[in-house]
Amino acid sequence: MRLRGVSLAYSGRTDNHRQALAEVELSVGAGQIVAVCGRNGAGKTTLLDVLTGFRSPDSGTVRVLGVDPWRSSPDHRARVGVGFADTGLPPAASVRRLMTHLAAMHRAPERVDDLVDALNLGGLLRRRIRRLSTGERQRVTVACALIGRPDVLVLDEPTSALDTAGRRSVLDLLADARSRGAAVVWTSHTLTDVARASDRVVVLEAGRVLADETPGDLAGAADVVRFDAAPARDMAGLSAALPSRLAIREAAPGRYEVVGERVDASVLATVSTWQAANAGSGRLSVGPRDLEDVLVGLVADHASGGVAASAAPLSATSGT
Amino acid sequence: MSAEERVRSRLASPPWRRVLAAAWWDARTMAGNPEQLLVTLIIPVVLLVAVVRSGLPDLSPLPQAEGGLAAALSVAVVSSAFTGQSIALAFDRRAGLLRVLVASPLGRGGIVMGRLVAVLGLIVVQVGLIVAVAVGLGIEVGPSQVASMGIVGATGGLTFAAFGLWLGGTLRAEAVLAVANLVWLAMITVGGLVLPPDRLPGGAVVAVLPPSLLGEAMRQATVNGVVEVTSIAGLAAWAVAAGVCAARWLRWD
Repeated sequence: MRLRGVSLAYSGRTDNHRQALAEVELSVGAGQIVAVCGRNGAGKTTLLDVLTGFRSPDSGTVRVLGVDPWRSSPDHRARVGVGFADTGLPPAASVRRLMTHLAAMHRAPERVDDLVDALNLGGLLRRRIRRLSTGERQRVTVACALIGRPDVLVLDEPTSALDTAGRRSVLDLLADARSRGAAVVWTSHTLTDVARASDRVVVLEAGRVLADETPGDLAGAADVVRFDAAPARDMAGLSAALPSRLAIREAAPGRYEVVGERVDASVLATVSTWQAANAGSGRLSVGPRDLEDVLVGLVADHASGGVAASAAPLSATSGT
Repeated sequence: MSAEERVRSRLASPPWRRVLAAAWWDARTMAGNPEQLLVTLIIPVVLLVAVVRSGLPDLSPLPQAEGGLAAALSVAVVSSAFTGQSIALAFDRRAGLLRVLVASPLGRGGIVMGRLVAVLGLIVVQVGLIVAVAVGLGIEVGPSQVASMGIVGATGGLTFAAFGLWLGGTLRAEAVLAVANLVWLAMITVGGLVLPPDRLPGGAVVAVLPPSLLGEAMRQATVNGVVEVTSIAGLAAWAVAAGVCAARWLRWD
């Protein structure tokens, strides 16, 4: 999969002009799993729509298996498996009827029973989709995407609403797809899953790619100091007292973070002093930075033009 | 998996199989919906029996029996091609099914073809059942009439399916449900589907609208056993217009 300079804007009476994708560059090779992360409305689902030929970009080029997906042939589409979170499932149909219908579009589809076993859907085959739980519908969506033995797999939030066992079974299926050479692009707000399953993480914000790195590179060697204090305090004094390599932000009202490399005793002492002066409880913790910290920081940097000051936490619902 | 299987697994099934699968899916979805069964089959049959047995509405100078058969068939065609089609499409859109099917080997063209084939298949079933009921009521239906009914039904079905795609692909599902049923009622009462346009207010205008063209062609088919070319040409022109509008405004999500 390859995107070069892809831009797409929405406009309309109810949806004012909004740049959903802006000069997006992305390349995903065979046998790679790439996660697309970002806030709701960042452009993740639009990116998947472009990859699956559901939308045509305003500018730029898109190639999937060497073909523009907007003008793809049935044989091309047979090689691309698509699953969108909790959509594409007609409520009145049974699971078996839907899967059999989608299998009929392929010359040599996966056996429905094999997929059902892999996703632990055996007891649900005769059940109407409206009777399934959210997690069960999610697994059916993934099963439908895999039915054509795709060379390219595009999944929108396949692990949302799943319990631990369900998430693991989906992540195992992604790994299986990678091991047989499929290119996988997926979105998720569950960053532990992203870190575990993905070869690369693409961070989108306002339609722009903020980062495209391996999970390890993205997390880097930085640490996070988390502490509490009264909400909405002026952080200028703390910022001035700390080395410039460290970034400060209020992650949520009354919850502050200092992020950066080489967090030493003098840093902790400075933070502790500021915390005491700003009605904090005195408790603070230090730990390695995880992907969520990185994403929140990147988005905050983008929003403030490069200075991390504050950011809303990433939420866990459906995207654009 | 062998190399040969691997190659085969990359391919879409043949076009005819994809379209038939889609048509079967759509037909089953429409036939499995009790409300749709009511408007596509039960109401036309009740209309036929009522018109023939009660003599109301008075369809003279047409023979009451053949006029009733034409009315029942016209209502049946419009019900499955327009009302059923638009509502099914709108709710499939809302469920996100079209989004998945667009990205599948079926694609946009296959979705439309499947729906048209489903409509034609349903119309064949409707014509068969309604003609059987008509024969049971003592109405004589000859081969030329059946053939004419088939041609008119197919042309009308395609025309109203184009309108159904336009409506079902444009508005929200709930709005489609309301509009489709209202239009269906209007076509029956004042649209020329049951009564000839010269007996309706604004008959000159009504006469060139699709329901009236279908009603008139169907009346000629049941009474005289002929395919009236003027009405068929009018329906075809409306089909092209509705198809262009559907292609321009149909949204897949």
